[in-house]
Amino acid sequence: MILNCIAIDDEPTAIDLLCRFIQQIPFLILGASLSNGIESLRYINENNVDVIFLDIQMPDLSGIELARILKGRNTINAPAIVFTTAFDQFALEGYKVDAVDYLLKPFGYQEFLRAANKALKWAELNVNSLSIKPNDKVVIYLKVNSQKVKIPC
Amino acid sequence: MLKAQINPHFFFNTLNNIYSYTLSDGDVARRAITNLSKMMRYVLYDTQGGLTPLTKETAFISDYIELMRLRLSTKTKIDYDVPTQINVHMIAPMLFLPLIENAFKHGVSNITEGTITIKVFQSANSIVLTVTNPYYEVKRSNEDKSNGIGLLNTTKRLELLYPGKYTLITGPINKTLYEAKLTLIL
Repeated sequence: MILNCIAIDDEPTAIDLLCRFIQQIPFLILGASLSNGIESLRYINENNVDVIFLDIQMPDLSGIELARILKGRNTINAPAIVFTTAFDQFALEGYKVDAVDYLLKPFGYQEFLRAANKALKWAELNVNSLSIKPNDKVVIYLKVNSQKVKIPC
Repeated sequence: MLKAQINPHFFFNTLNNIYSYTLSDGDVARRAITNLSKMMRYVLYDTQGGLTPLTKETAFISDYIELMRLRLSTKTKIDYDVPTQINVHMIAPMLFLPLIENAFKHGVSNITEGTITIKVFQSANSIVLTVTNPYYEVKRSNEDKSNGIGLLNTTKRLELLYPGKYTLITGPINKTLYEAKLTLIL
């Protein structure tokens, strides 16, 4: 499985590092790197994004707010979010928006790889749960308490 | 005890940038490490006594600005102006940084362009620091609860260290510019 990802950070140097790490991971394809939340929202609307590496403290629109907006949409294949931040006090907020992982700056390749793997597992789970859909045509009947119950497979 | 400190977020974000530069540009990384070391030495050792030479405080600010330049996008310009010939004034350390940090915290946007201006003036018996930054009337999301604590702390320190001998005026000077002006009478 290949994941389309984007890197969002207001600091150009932090973006450079993210892009470098992303290029070293075979199952990640970098779609874009963006420096603010507003542009990022536009990009996410128009493109297929599986994973977002997202800085929290940014001017204009914070990473947490961006994540809240995305979560609020409740779409079926919402992108997995990995926060990258120097602030550990935001970890709790991160859980509330279902972040897949949380990278504390400065982080190395090993930690980044761990986060990328988590995002991959998350995406695979999502795909599997989407492909398991009840099929009306195939059913089994079970007798439960002397009543016939129809169960779609 | 009211002691000014370096913001830990500045510290970790800077380390992250240095990490990034070790992979892309060793010269920049090495220079950044020296800047950061000088800042840490100043905060750890030189600010322990009561007063410090003005030159040390301005050198500290120069290091800070050089590291901030590495973090900012091209949208924000920094105009830093300190007299090259500085009198041997002694001042209380770490009074300038909170005002400059505020300018970076509130005056940076990655959508619109802007300039942060930092100027130090001196006379025989006074020092003036002026910091201006782009002013956004609409309060933005990242300006959280910690807002104003840095400034409050600085005001308390000024009250203790320069009672009746300082002025600190902060606020928007027009629709697009915010200014902080600190005057110390020596």
